[in-house]
Amino acid sequence: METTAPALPAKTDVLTPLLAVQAAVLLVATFEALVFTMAFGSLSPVVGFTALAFLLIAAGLGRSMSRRRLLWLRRLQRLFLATALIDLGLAIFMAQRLLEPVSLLTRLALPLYITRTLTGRLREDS
Amino acid sequence: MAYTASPMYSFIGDHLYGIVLPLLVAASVWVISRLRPGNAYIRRYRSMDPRRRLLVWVLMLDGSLHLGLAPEHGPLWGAGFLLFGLWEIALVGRVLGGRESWRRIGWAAGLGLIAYTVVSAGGTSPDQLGLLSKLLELTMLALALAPRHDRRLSRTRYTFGVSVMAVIVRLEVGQALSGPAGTATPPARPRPQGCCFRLWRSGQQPPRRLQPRRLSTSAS
Repeated sequence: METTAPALPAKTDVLTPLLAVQAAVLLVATFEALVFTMAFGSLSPVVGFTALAFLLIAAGLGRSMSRRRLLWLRRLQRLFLATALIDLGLAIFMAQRLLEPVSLLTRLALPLYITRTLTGRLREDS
Repeated sequence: MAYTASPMYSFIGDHLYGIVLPLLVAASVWVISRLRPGNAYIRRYRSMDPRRRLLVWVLMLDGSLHLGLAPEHGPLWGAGFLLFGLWEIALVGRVLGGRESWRRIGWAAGLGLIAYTVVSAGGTSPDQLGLLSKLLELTMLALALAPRHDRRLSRTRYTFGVSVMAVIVRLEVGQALSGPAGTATPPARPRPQGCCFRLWRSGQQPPRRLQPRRLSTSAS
């Protein structure tokens, strides 16, 4: 049975703004990937992935989120973290450098913080 | 320089204080919170909800970043950075005092984003510090404008607004990078200064050995 997480007062909820920022960053990433795809003439799976992630997160925004939706969002955040860690590993081993600071924030710090918040919400709910 | 020639993937050397000052502020706040946990501001911060706590950090880091940028720019831009940084620090005080105005915070974030968009349209190239500042302001905007009611229209409008703002800033950044008059963009190739270039500038004929060979047009 689908249970609804307790809706926090509007001014205390931190999850909605962070998901909105993530959705905005994903939308920008989709545009960038699309431009690169058009420039090099090959369909990149990155376009599809980022566009899908944007749609999922944009659809998942809202204060009264069901437990199932929270779980899906957490899985999506873990997928982001996994891809970011793969990219970071490739950058370190192949280019001997880290990702750019803003990329580290949007691709590692933001999903980590959202995952932590989602885990807290799920724990409150159960 | 990073692996690309674009300053977007690195920090411009002139922005050193803009990097150091936010780090110093963050470290100082952490040390004060450890050494003096009974401090009135620290206690007030700890009693706040997560959204206001995040807002305090975002405002403080963005404000100190702008204050750090002030001495390294001209008087006009320096004054702008100084005023904006002081405004954000004043907003931190208001949030900690429980007297915050979400509308005013939204205006501050929107103003910062729009100003950067205008400057980028003028040809100033962005670097990682500029993008970091815009990420902080986008977070500030999202925190300030979060919908009060859980209605589908409010949520859609909110997501659309934040996303469109991010896309506009990114598009202008792209335009600044591709524009010819990027203030921080290094020239793609050094200007030729050899003997041929000087001869060409002076309008003289180059020596015979440097003249291009004439192709034979006769079909022999």
